[in-house]
Amino acid sequence: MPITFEHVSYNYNPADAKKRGASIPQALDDVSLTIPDGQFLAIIGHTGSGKSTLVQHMNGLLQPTSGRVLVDGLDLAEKANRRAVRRYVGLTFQYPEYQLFANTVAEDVAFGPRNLGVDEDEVQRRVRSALDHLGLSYGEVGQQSPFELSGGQQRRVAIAGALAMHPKVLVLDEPMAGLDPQGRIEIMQHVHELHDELGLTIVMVTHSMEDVAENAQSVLVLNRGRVFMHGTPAEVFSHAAELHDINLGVPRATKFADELRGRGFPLPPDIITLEQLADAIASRIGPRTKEQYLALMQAGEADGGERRG
Amino acid sequence: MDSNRMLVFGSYYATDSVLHRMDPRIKLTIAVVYMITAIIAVTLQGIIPLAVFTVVAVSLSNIPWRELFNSIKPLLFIMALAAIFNIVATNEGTLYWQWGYFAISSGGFYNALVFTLRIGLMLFAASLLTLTTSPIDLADGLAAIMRPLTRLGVPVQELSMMVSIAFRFLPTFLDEYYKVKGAQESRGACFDQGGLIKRLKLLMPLLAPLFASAFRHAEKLAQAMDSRCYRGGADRTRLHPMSVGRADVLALLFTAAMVAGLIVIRVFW
Repeated sequence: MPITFEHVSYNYNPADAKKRGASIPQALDDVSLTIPDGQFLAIIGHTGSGKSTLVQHMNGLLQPTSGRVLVDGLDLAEKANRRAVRRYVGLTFQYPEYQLFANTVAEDVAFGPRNLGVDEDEVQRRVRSALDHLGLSYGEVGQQSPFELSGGQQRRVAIAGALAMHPKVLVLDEPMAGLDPQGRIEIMQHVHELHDELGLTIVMVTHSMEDVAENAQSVLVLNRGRVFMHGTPAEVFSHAAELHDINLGVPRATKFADELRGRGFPLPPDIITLEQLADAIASRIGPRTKEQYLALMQAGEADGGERRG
Repeated sequence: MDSNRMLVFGSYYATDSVLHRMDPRIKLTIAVVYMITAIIAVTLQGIIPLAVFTVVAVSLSNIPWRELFNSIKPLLFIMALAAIFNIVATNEGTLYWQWGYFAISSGGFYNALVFTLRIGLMLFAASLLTLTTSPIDLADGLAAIMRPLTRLGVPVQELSMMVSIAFRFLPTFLDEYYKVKGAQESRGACFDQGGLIKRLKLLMPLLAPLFASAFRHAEKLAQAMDSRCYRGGADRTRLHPMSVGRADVLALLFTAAMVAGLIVIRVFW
């Protein structure tokens, strides 16, 4: 179920734009890209760069003012195609818990599959399975009102609601926004599993470069509605200065590695995760290899410092 | 869906002009006097003072005539209906045609013309008021005029605050409405299809989240206002105090002249 954008531009107010001419800033400007089946794509960009607008084109909620969007070859310009695509491309907005409405968690998660006309037994199976994938127990929360749950739990119910549709692509707009650190780790983990275990294509809008580095296979960088960069995380994060110019950062590990290199400490390129950074540094300090150092630590003869797990 | 969606609420047209800067209390008062004058003007010549007043007011407001006509458009249909009714139901002056209770006469045309002009001018005045006064100023002006009612126990200031808050949140709720609608559509809900029952069932997924959001906003706003020592009541002052200036006095005099003109015309013409 690949998704293709062909020269997509989007304007909020086309009539206004015609009047004021080409000087009107476009929400999306000539965006072209293809998301192959099963990819984990992260979308990053400054606030207002068009990320939310872009992802809403992926399931047909918005249509381009020029250009076209194809999902599995189907042009979303046709209403019938848009309807059909909702089954396969699931989308959650920012703060998706604000869409919860039903009397019980189970009823809310069931909303999606029921709209698809799935028979009731299957609906119940999907509800349980979706909640399970997000780390929620049907027995514990299934019959509770969604408004009684904590913010993190509500967030998971909302994502489960999209998952219960059994989509092939899951588009998440800042799924970790506003969560405490533990909540962020848990949601990221669940999303990662959805990609690994269920083989879903994941499109994730995020501001956390660390999450991008750890999970994404491809990164799309948006700037003022235009595609600024599109490549693997290693490729994209090797351009720290350019990213900085458009108000974006790089993962902490990359920043640290860049600093070290700047001060003359030799490190290989393409360091984007903490693991890689630690390995690279460890293998260069002293005469010991990483394996020797680890062996020493286990024997209790390490020279100071705590090993962080 | 898009927080950039342009919305003009209460049809306020943001520009700078003499009218925009006038005290809202004065504008409200003049609008009411104008309406009453329009009701009293029943002859074609009686409309002259109204028309003159309106033309002067519009030119002082820097509002393009196009905007005024746009604000009247929704009511044109009703005006046309009323005019037609006037034409066929009046039997005065020269009779052209009759059939039972229906009669088309010169009197009918005259009445229709006067009626249309009067209603048109009244609508212009109402539009001019809302085009040159922001909803918050309108609410404040109204509250100031109704302040004597507080002696009767009416919580005028609190009511005015409620109206202002409601206006302030309308764009917010519209935004959230589009978000919730988009979220439910993403889960397969079709809001533009199906019979009555189906659409009624879809109200819950739309309204419940909006109500929940209203309560959330209310709680947060209440806390914010509380922590800034809001106590309601009549002791509140305004950042830009309403003050009657020279333009206001001149406007009042001009209004008085209009009324005087009408009276003179009614008596002598």
